[in-house]
Amino acid sequence: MSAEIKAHPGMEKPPTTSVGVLGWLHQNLFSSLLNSVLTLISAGILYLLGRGLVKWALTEARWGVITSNIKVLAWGRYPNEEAWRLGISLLIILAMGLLTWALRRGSLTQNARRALLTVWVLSPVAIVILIHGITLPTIATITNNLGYYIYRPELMPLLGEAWRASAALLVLAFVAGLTCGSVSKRTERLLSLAPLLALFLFTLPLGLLANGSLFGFDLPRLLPQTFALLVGFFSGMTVGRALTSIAAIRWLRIGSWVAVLPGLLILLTTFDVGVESVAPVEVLQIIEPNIWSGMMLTILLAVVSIVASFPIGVLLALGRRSSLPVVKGFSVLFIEVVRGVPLITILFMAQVMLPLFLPLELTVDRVIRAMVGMTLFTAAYLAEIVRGGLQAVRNEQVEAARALGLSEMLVTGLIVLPQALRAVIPPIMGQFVSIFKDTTLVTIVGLLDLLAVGQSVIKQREFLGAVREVYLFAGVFYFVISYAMSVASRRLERQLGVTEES
Amino acid sequence: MKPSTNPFSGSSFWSFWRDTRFLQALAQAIFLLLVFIATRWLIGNLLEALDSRGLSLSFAFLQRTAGFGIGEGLTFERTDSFWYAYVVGVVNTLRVIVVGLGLATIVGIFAGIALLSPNWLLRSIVSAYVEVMRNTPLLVQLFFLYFGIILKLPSLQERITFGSFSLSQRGFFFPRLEPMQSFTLWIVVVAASLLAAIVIFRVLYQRRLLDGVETRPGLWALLPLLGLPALTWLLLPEAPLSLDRPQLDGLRMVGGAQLSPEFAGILLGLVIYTGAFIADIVRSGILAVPKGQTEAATALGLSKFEVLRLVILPQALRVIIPPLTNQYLNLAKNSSLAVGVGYPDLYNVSSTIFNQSGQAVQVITLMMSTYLLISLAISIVMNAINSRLKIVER
Repeated sequence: MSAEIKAHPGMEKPPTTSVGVLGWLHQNLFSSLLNSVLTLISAGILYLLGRGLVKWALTEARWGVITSNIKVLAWGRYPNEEAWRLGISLLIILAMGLLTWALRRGSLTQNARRALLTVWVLSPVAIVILIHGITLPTIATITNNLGYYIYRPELMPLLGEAWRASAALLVLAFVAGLTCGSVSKRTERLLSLAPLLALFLFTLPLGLLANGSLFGFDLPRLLPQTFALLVGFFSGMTVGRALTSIAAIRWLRIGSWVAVLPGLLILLTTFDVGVESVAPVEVLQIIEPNIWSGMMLTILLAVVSIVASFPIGVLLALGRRSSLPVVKGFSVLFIEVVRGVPLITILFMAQVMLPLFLPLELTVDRVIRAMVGMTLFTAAYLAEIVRGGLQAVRNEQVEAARALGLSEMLVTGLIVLPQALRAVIPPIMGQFVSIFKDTTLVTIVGLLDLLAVGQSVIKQREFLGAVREVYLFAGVFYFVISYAMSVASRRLERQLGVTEES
Repeated sequence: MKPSTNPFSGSSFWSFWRDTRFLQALAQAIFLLLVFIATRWLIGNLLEALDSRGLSLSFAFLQRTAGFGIGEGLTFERTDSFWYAYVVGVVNTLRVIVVGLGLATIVGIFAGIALLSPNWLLRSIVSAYVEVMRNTPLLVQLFFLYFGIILKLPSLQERITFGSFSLSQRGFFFPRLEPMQSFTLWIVVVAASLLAAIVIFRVLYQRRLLDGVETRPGLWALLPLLGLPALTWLLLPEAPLSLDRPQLDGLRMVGGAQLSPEFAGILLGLVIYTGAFIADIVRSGILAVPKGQTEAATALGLSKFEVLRLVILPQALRVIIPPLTNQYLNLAKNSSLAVGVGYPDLYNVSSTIFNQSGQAVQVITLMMSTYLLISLAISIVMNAINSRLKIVER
């Protein structure tokens, strides 16, 4: 570089006021009198604030309130020994986010896309099971309960529920019959009877045990079950024979077996059967929603209302643009009313008024009620954003799609919505940031989110009055997540802008 | 019967299944039916629940004695009715909203201009302020401000004073201007001078535009604006206003004006929070005016102030007003967070009324419709402003 300058002896160096550190200072801080004054005032304010803050943070602040309560702030009343479940859930959420982020532009094969979508749909279920816990009936539970139903219904505390045994048998026999009737090989036919046989073998010992001997059965009492078994099996076989020629029969068979198992579980194990029954095993300890608290509740509220409000918001947006006046009126009314009132009044309504509108015997947990309130609130705002996107889709697109012979449903699903949603990703992300911040309002209706746990931490005797430390910590927590979301949104916006031009 | 060549006319009875009008009507009928069934179910549950709790749907309970106190706004006794308590809450909310809107706009405009300042330090500080405010929840800010700062101020006895202004954990105190006897006369005088100044300015300004002669409208308008009050000042013996300074009397402050810590908390919180959002709107509004506009206006010989007033602002405002309306609505709705700092606003009073009376349905209906009305009023005013600023298309 210097050689180049030497090559032009007539060239002068640029003035010191326009290059280097001095030049930067001159241009950005002292370019005019007003600017210099502003710089001095800002520097003064910054110095005073900064000095006060640093002095407070290093000498006066009692950061022990955070360090000794970090678990309380993170998951509140959730049992410490179960906290690993929250960690895994968080990892799932992050992984899903990263996966989507990484794959959003790559050219995905149909299969990969389908797999991603399946994982997307399944991961919330997995998270709910992880956080809430689950009890699973063992084979012993099923056979034991079924055995009681069949052989000793008089021992059941809920005799009136004995129909469940017949219903279960009917369903099981129907599926077995369907399989038996639609397969051609003899071995396959025998195989399809195996579940019925297994059931019989499993329940027989109990029946023997209960009655003392194989021959002491009260036949009339077994009549309904036998009847159900026969009817189910033969009707299944008839249907199976009739459907043999259909191409999808294999899938139908597999599907019906997949569907029948949870059905049986529900029929046979949803209540305590009493005497000598084998209780379902608590695979993951059940932790009721009213225990959920701290940062974990904050994140959960945000994630649930974001995920659940999205489809409702899209439906409302479509409803608002519908040509059916009734549907349109309903959507407009809902959106405008919800957007016209503060979130806190909706949360208050969800806590106080929702129980009145539900049957007396149905009680919904406060946390779930808050989730419902936040979801409906977010849905109304999302609907307006999506509506903006829908308006941005040019009418030629719709006309072209119709000319190709797509039905209204397909036009909306394949042509309009993808373009509309893509156009409004940045404001949707903005809405997500704001709903994340708004989760703090549940503090006011008495839920224990991070802010509320923070308030209770301040009331501990040894940390009485450590207000600033706790709220500053909460503020940093919200800031980090919100800021990350807004930065991501801005990058996305830029990328979308680039792709639109090309 | 008209003979038809339509091959499908044979099935004319079934063809209505293919008629979109029929299908649309059917879809709506089904939708209505579903809504009806759901509503019936909900209302049935409601009536049952109300019955089992011994509640009704009548608003008569509003006449009952409240039995709780409100320490802010209109004077309220424990023996006043629920209805009056509600009115006090509404007035308190409106107080926060009106003052908050004004202050937030001012903060937002200044911060928005600062965001475009060539001064790097100022720009950085202001954009840090905007980012922090936008990315943390308002409620956390309010709690920090109220519990962490205002309530940690020194007590009344050790209050921080700047002249007659003082800060303490019991509130902010400042002198109040007390109108004297001649105050009414002063109002008349000031109004008259203002009117005269406007008329003179308009006339001279028009003449400048029409004749192209420099008539100095601003300078001439100053004459009545300053002259008339000065004349009155000389003639009248007494000042129009006197200062009423707050004084410590025992354990409380007497005289002057004061902001309660709760009002100061919610007001400052809302202004600082909404101001950050407005700043960003103002910034993008000004940026939305192409630079060529400024350059063209300068080339036409307009002064810097005229460029701002006649060229940039009208165009920037068109971009600014719609999102600004949203922020105003947000501020109005966010004023309900006053409950977090214990300020007896509409929401706070409503939830107390609910706790005292148990009448959930009525209280929520009343509260929500009031908020809806407030939102509606703000929207109407802002939409009127917006349509006045719109480009007139011919």
